Amino acid sequence: MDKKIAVLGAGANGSSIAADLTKANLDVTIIDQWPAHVEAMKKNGLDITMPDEHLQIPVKAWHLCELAEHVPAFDIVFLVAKSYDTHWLTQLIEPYLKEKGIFVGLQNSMNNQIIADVVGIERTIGAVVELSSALFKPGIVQRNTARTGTWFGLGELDNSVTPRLNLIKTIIENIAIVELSQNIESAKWTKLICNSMTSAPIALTGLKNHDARDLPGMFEIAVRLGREALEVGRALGHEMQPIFGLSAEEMSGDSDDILIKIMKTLSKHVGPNSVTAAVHDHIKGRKTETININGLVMKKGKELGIPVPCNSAVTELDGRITKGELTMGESNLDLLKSMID
Amino acid sequence: MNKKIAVVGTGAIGSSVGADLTDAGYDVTIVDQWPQHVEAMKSSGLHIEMTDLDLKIPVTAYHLCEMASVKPAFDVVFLTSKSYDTRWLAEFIKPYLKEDGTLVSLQNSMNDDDHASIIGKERTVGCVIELSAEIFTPGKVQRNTTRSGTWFAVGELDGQITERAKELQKILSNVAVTDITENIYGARWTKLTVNSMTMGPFGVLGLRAAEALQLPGMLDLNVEIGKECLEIGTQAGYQIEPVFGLSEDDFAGPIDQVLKTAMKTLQNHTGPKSRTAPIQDHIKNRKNELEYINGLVSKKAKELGIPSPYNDAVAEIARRINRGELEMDASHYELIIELAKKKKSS
Repeated sequence: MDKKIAVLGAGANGSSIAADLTKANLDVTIIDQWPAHVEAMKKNGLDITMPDEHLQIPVKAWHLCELAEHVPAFDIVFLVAKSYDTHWLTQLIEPYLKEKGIFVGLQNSMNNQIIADVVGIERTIGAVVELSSALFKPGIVQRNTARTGTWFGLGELDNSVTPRLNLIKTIIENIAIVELSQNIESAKWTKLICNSMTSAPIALTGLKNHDARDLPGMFEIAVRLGREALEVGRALGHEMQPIFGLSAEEMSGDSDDILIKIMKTLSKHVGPNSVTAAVHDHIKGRKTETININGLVMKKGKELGIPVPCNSAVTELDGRITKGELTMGESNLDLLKSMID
Repeated sequence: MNKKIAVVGTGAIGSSVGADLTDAGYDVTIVDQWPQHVEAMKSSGLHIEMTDLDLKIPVTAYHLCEMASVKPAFDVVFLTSKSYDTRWLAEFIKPYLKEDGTLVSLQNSMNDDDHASIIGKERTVGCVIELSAEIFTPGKVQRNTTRSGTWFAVGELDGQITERAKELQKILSNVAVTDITENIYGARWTKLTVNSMTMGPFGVLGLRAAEALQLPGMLDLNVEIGKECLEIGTQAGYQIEPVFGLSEDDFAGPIDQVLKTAMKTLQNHTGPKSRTAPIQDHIKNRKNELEYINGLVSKKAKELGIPSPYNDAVAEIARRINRGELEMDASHYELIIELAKKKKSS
């Protein structure tokens, strides 16, 4: 394949993706904003530890300020950034995406409209991503999901199945199990429901996923968060879609059961050692993506007049940790309970 | 004065502005994308060499990837980047601009409406700038225009003279002789006209102004380019505005004369050593801004159905240079004339 591919945003997920695509002999350029990480990649390549493989591979990496030097023209751009970095990064890369190029947001939350507004709906493909990884040291990534335990869903925004969608599928199959979705926006909302249940509430405690999961009351809180997100999604026209490789049959029946099932499936895939990204962000003192997950449920719920007390409380507490007014800890769970009961 | 000020996109111009405002005692944060420059500013501050002042000053500088951790809230953002970096930088800095904050574009070209569409019209103010500076070494800037030889004009997009505009004038007076304009779009277009006349042709030729002007016919070419811009500007509804601190009278004469006066004033201010920005970009192997100078004129002309052969020719050569198909070269003078002739006859 002679397609020029950019991986824009090389945190833990972007680095994992770029390493696998480079290994598959594709023409991949990594573009990132963190100077030390770019330096490490230039010098030593990427070092990805997976449960079943240790991958060390030289990569082509540029700092984003180098775009004006190379003036590239990409056929495909994979955006792998936090949701709050979507708009500016899409604007940054737009001049370097070919007229008939393809832009795929490999992100959480609902960013396709933002992307399509910048690069055009005809150049946008949507994706659901389930890949767990962490990056603390420049160039070195711990990837918790093996390739066979990583799951991506891909879909055209108009729900059609096109040759280019199949092309992207072939590329992504070097990283993960891929399924095509003919309702990608609803599939993304289904992932958002799952994220709303697990990411921010777990991050309030600062614990590993599996340790937080077993705290008293955590399960009930997760289900409440999921119910709210589900109801808001339904009002927006999103019925839950099979994701994470679950079948349509497994996704039918009582909605609480489905919520629990997607949560458990995710938990199984990411394994006992994984720590949710929001915990890493809090540790680094960085903004988390919670405003784009639970915060989005809150915003949409308010617009639609649907009560979303649980997502509102989680969003507020996450914001207080980001501002440094609160520290992560198990006691935050009691604080959360007191806000929603 | 406890306003939190950011200078974003700090090449030679932004670094000059950031240094002067820091020197004046303001609370200034510099935000840039070039890692080595940020490192240099953090460890040694900025060193700005002006013809009449050697300024060495510690500054507060962050790389843009640090913003998600620093999470600042700015009252005023001065955006000092190249035009091609306008939209993404405005999107990037938006979360860190206060709800009642102001973004001021200290750029060439016509980017104010782009900013307004991202930041909101009520938070956007324009500023025409005439500041010549160069940066090749991280942390170190050669500034060709002295403070008193640098000229800015701040203007609200709706032309009102507001308290905010006056406050910005006061702040920027530490960097340049700063006017308030009631016609920011007209002033922008006038500056664009002068840029098209000088930055465009001198840029693709790779010559300093004085060197280029020794070529027979060069001055006539400058004037032809300028006349096209003025015609297009007039048709687009922009009213030409005295810039560079020139008076109404200076702008009252025959059009050729006005254009020559504006060009000469610019050259007097920037001095004989200065090299126009596209030459600096070429040396650094970076994209030049001419798509937003002659390229913009050419685009507007097409929209209005007005011929603009000279701007088309310069824009075309600049594009080839950006694509790596051509080097800057003095011989492109003939190429400009040839391409323009072809455009005229087609």
